[in-house]
Amino acid sequence: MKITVEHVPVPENEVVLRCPELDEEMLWVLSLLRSGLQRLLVWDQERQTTLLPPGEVVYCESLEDKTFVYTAGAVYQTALSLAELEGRYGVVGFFRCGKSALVNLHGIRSLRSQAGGRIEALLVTGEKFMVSRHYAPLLRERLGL
Amino acid sequence: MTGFLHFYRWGLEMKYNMGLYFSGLVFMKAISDAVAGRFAMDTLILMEMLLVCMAFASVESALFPRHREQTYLRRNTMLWVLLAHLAFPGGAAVMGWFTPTPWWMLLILLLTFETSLAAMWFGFHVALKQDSRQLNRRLQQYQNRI
Repeated sequence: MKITVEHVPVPENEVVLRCPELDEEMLWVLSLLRSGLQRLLVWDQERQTTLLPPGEVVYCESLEDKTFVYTAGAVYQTALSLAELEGRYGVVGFFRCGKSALVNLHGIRSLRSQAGGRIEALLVTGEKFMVSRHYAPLLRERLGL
Repeated sequence: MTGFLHFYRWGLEMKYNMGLYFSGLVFMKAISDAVAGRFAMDTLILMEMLLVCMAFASVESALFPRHREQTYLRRNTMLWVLLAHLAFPGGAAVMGWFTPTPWWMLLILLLTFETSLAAMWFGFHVALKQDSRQLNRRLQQYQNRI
């Protein structure tokens, strides 16, 4: 796929996709653009709402029927479930790493293979996450292994 | 119920290792017995071996927990090596699993045991490190792709 970036004085940024037909690659680009642009509505402890770009999310956690969203410097809450978050932002890197946790693959600093087929993920925040034996093969598949 | 399921899962994993150690012991015993011209095994010895393997596998599962974060890896590895020596060569000496056997056969058994133990840990370590390298390479590729 040829990628061209043109710097032209336009009132609004524009993305034009040129292709003979919508093949798998183009569909992936489309879904990536849509998910990437779709901001996540979250609120903090003071119930102040924010529209968060999905790229800022490091990980999400489900606790007592509430979904918490963690960025590098703040904690928010969202109305979406982990499954909904994964479905909506999976294409931009959201990955279900446990029954009650979801991680943004772009928020992972490094991975370490562990005994028993588990994988330890070190996040950019310095926190560690254990990807269980159940989810580790899915992570490998996601990374193309 | 959750407690029972945890116990059940632990049992399954522990028994897998126990079976592995037990088959290794039985294999060594079969060879040493064959060298000495014996082709039948004492049931009591087999039971002793099984119980020692079970005890060792239980302690091993505590030293290297699968569902919790691994802590004190170096210390636990040293403990694992020490306990393996106490359980297997120690158990064999105390309970007379491999007697009467010529001294050279005992030496071969001991060397086989030491090599297996070293190979087990070395292979485990190297395989995990290689896997981690590959995982990080792929993660970097994934992160650069989007």
